[in-house]
Amino acid sequence: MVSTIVESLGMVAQPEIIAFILLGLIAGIIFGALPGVGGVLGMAIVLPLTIPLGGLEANILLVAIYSGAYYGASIAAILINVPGTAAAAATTFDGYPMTQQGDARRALGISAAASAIGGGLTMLVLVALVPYLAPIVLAFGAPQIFLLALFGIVMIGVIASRQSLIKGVLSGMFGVVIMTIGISPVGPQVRYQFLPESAEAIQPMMLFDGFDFIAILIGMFALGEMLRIATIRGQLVEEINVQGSIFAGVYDVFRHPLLTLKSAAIGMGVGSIPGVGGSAANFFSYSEALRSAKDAMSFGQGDPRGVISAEASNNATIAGSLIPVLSFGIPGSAGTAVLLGGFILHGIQPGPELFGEEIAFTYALIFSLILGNIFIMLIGLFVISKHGPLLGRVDIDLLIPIVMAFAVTGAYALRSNWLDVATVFIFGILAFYMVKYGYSVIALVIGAVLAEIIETNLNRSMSLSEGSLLIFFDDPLSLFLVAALLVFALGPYLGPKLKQRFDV
Amino acid sequence: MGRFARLEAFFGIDTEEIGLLLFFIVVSTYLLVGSLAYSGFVGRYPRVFSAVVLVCAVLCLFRQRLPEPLATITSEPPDLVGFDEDEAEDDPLEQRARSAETRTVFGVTLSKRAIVTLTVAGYMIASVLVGILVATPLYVLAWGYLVNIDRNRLIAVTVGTTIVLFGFMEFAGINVDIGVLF
Repeated sequence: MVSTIVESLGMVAQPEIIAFILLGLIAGIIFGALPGVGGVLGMAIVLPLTIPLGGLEANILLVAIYSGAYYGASIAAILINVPGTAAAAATTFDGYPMTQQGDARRALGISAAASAIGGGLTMLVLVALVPYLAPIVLAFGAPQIFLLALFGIVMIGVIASRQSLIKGVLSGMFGVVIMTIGISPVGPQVRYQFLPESAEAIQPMMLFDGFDFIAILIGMFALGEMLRIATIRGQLVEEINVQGSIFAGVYDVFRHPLLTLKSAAIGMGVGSIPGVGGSAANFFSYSEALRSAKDAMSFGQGDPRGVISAEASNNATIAGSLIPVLSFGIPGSAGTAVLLGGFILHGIQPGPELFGEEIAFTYALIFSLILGNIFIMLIGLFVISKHGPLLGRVDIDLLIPIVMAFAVTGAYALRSNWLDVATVFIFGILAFYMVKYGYSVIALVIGAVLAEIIETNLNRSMSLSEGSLLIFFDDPLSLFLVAALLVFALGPYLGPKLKQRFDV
Repeated sequence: MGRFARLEAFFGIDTEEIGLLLFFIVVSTYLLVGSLAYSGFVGRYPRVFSAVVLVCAVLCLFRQRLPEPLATITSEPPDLVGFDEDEAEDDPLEQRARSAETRTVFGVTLSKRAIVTLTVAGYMIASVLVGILVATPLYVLAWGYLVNIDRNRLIAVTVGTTIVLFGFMEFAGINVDIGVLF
């Protein structure tokens, strides 16, 4: 254990790894700070460009973008009242009033310190949890992994498409079903060739290898988002007046250690639930701070505690969200779906391997995030406090062609296949209309990402049981997962009816 | 949208959502029918999942016309968790003042979204034909012209993206200079 930790620390303490952490953080902070862009889009367009890198460098770069974006989202929330992503929405409640009161630097200081402490401490908790996760992971066989993946899709679909259960299931299952095109992962058969085998001239354009889910990710998060933000006026603000003391903000965080710890714990817990993510953690934590405050009247009027609770929690969700993705390869959010894409692209198989042969990689990833949180604090205090307002002046009209050029190049780089470029276009348009009508884009992406896990584990289960579905009911863990799946899918509908019946 | 008014009245949802659901229905039907050509697990697996997609899409399409028990499962549930990650309506950007910008291109008035879609489609087609390296500066210039980006900034972005592409070609070995034509 100790030797593994030392080995992992050695892996992170390389100059090029530290450079990738810094590069990822800076890119993440910029992506996160640009309203409408966000870390997921940043990760999606950078992902295919990591092909020439090694697995560790590539995934450290991606998690650094992911981590930096959570912090970056607070900059626009504090300075211009528009959070970079929904994960910093609650930061606006007190962050922006502080800016209006001439205390913007103090708010930025709180944001940097709370994000770094919340994110860093929960990563340390994750380090402590890793040895206990391994036996849990090993308890899951093919039937349980199949059920867990299905549960993940349904849960994310239900939460994200809150307009209706059917919309969520439809989105998630569509993601699964489109990945059945091409060579089956359980046999040599090519499914859905679309064109006759005699059409050799256009064979490179055919879907023998199916859709690449990374191209789907890029399309849905790059073009889909660009279509959505296209109507936002070019530059959000011309001039921002930044005043106050940044170190007063750091002092505020250290003055409220319990609030910081409680918010971080909420963030980590909420983050580990698939589909809930940073936005929910942000609000839960803020609500809890408001509920437990003796003098809650000042919340919403520039109270530093509001910024502490919101910011300590959203960065802490990263540690929580890594648990299902490292343990089972089941992403709970769009960010971790892209991260899983990074693992797969670089031949890293989440699950038992990450807690066995590849344990040093797992620790190195976590340690890189701990180091990343220290860098967040330093960048926040010494760079963002001075130059952060520039981010509010980035012109969205200029951003669109840059993002699209990266998206198209990245998609083509995956397999040098023009079909991946077409995939970006088709799924980008699809994502725009899905978001418009309340169908979950995240559920579709996660369905596509989990499709292979679902198919291979279902096939393995069926082989083990010689075709009997009873394999999904014959042990307590499977039964628990089936029950959880049913409760989550049907609970919102049956619950009120049952309650009504028992009340009567 | 006038000519689709009867369609909207029948289904009780927007034409665009009808189009989206028809897309799901057509794709899932194709995959369902296509899966019949494969035997064993390789065929049964896509058959089951495409059938689920088909049923869900049909239920969504006819949700305003469903009888009571079925209507319940397609309607909004009472309360789930209370938050979600990717709903446009929750996005503060959606609440931000928007510019209802339109541009007249060759005598046709287009929304900015339509310009994004058309330029990206053109960019992708040009990339296939002449390679990404040539298509990218053309796309950036066309976009800049259509949305009136300041000339200096436009030149900077065009040069910047081209340099980055050269970087990909040199250091990552991506053949961005090859298209179908040359």
